[in-house]
Amino acid sequence: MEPTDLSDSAAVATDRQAGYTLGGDYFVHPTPAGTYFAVSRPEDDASRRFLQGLLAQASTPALTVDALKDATGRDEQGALALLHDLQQAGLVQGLPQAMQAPAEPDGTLLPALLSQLSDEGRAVLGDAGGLMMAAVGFKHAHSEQVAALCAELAGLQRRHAALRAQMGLVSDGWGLVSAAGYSELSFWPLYVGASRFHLTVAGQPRFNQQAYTRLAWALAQRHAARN
Amino acid sequence: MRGEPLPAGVRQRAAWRQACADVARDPLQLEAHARRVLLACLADERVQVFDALVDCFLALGERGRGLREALLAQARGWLDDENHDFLARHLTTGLSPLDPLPTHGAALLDPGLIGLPVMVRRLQPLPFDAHAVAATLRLDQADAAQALPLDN
Repeated sequence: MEPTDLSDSAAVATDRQAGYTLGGDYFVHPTPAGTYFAVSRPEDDASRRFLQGLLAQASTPALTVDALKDATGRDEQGALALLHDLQQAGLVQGLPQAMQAPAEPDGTLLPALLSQLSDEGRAVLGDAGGLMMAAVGFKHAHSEQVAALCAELAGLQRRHAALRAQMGLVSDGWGLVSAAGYSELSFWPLYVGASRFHLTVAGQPRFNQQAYTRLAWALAQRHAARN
Repeated sequence: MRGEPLPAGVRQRAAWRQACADVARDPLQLEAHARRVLLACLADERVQVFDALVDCFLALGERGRGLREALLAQARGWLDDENHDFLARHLTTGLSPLDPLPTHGAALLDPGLIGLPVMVRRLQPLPFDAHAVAATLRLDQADAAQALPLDN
């Protein structure tokens, strides 16, 4: 998944050109691509704020014009234009009924979600300080070291963010790669609310899964509960 | 470099990973799609067989019916009836990312939707009167006219 450029100005420009209307009664929820877009970078813009706002709620909100206006701080057409842009980029979807945030205890929820994010079923989740929060498929000692390594890499990535932007690199993860270019381990930052987490994936990442959205949603709930 | 040959399982896994990367990098690499399906059959990985076929159906859309048909026939023994019938129904049309799948595995090109992709509609634009526009244009405005958005 590559990041999508959805700036405030893009939405406003679209708003000037056409009007929009809601197509039915839905509950709005990020797609896996939308979740990736929202949490893979610390950037702050209207699209990411809206998507992060969805993840911060305990259940998928009903899609109404008033709710959209509240969530985006825009007038009706501006809010609908933003949602339209997100929809066209495949970053949001409409559910026929509300869905609740994952409520299982971390001890059972996180490993189950993590295993779905790797084609080898092996992944580690760490916090900003490099402490391992959950792991699956790794020896315990390895998972703790991997979580610490991932946090260090995230610091490296932040320090050199400007260079990445200057070079036009669009990737968000770091990797231990073979000579053929295939990653054995890849390291991914997750920016959820004001918190930062780190995800390490063995083999090929599988972020186009509902499990990815559920992981970010669970982490956002944890963040919301703390604040 | 010379050494002991890799065990068959390792070779297959490396080949599978390469085929996955090829498809992820360029979804229209037909040979990589075929390789994935055959490798998954060879490894007797039924979920991966379905995932590889889903990716092929998603990537090609309405194109490549012959390839889809051949791969589906090749993989018949590794698909349960529900998954086979689902793909057989889409032989002609291929799959759209919006088509709900009977089972969400780990197809590379599946966007993982659980809902509907469209919630907001653009209001119907005013009809585009090409003759009226042409009548008001001078020749030196042609470049500017071409830059006008036509999708609203």
